[in-house]
Amino acid sequence: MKLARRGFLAMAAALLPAPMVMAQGRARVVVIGGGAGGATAAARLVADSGGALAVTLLTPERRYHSCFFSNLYLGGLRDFETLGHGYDGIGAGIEVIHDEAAGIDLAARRIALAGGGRLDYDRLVIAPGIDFVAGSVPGWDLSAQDLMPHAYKGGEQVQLLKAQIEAMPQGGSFVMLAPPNPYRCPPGPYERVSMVAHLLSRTNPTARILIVDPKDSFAKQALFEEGWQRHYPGMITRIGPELGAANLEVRPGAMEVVIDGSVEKADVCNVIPAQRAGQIAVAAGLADDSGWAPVAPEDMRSRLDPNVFVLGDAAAQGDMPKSAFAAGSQARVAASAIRAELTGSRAFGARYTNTCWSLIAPDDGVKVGASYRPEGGKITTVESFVSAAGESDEIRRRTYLESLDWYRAMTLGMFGPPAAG
Amino acid sequence: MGRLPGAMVACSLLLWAPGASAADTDTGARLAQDCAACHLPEGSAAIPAINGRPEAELIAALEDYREGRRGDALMGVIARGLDEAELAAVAAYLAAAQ
Repeated sequence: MKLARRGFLAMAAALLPAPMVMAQGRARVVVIGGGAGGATAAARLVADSGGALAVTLLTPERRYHSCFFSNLYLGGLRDFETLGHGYDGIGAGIEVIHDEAAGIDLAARRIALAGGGRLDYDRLVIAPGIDFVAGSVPGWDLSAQDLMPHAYKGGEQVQLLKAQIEAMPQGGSFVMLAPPNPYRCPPGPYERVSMVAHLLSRTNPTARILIVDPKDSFAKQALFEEGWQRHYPGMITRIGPELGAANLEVRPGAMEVVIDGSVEKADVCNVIPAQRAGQIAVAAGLADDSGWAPVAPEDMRSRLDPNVFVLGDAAAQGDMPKSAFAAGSQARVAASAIRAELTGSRAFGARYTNTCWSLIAPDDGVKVGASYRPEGGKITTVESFVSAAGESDEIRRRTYLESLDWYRAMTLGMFGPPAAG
Repeated sequence: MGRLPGAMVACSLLLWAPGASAADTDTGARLAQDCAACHLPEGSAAIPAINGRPEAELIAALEDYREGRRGDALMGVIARGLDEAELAAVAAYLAAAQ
């Protein structure tokens, strides 16, 4: 009994957040990852604490290219440059370090930087996004990404995929290998197919699109299928697991996809592999056997280290989809909780919202969304909605325009006002 | 800093409302962060500006969304997630915001 109690107390102590080590008189929060979760969290921490917290944002890129809206670039509806954002305008008072975390010593609360040096923290926010599960698509690994791009982290890969689509021969084939659940942006692959179809319908109308999908069903399926029939009749075919899509191999050198033993030639092959939490979260021991980082639904605090908060795609939190909107919503909850813990400001009950807009064709936008609360040990859906099939053109156009506002508001919250000129 | 007098007026008005808590400005500020995830300061044709709108108008709009009298699925979900004090707090905060 004594032993058990001592064990319990030791464990309870181990799970308590560490007391503050004041850095120059201020508690220090380091944020790893300059995307939707990380940049939003850093901006909120600085703005809301009025300088009471020292906030460092660690991100290797000097310019961020959003994965969200990159499908619109593939469809020819947006210039690549409109997806790029610099960190110069991010909240005054945030120390931005363009380097990579080489490792995290959770016990010492210390980050080793790839470029040398280290960062100590009182609380760590980590929003590293996704990485791919090795071997999930037999025949494909990162060394094949130039031949068969994933284009699922924004940036150059998306440019490469677009160049390949534009170079397709007339009547050629675009093959997408869709990922298994869970993955970043559930409607993303299908919006991508829509935008590729839009581009091809103008430049290469006899081209074919094949989706090879290991899932029985997918996000907004009825809406996408209705839209594909309406806008791109006959162009898009989807092979699900019942037709062997789960039994798959690719041969990047030959540009071949082998589906259940049958060989398909591809002119462009977009391989979106199975996903897990970004590598630094896994390497630091913040992910569990699922490959994702478990968090408490009340504040996004890691279940494996009480000084760490995990945001966005990398987190295993419950019902929220892995989306930029969700990451921003989680960032505001976590920033509020961290500020309360470190400065004594008032704590607020967690509430989360998500909306995912998807574009099926120009001016044909659809959305799905929900509100969430912590319940039963996870982030749990309270109420959800989805666009209806057969909505009027006016509603669909308005839904698309909403998504443009959201993009501007999202990036404003991450990076501050765009630089003049 | 320009928003402070407005916020203080809104806050003092709220003190007269039955059941309103003194910390409503904090609650309003936190909730307004979520509004700003979509509502741009200058607004647009699709998503209107809400900063600086009359408080009564904001309350009426949120109540209409909550009851389904005004049709936007996302705003309905959000409004139904607010209790009376939160709805009043965010409306007061936004009305006072620039």
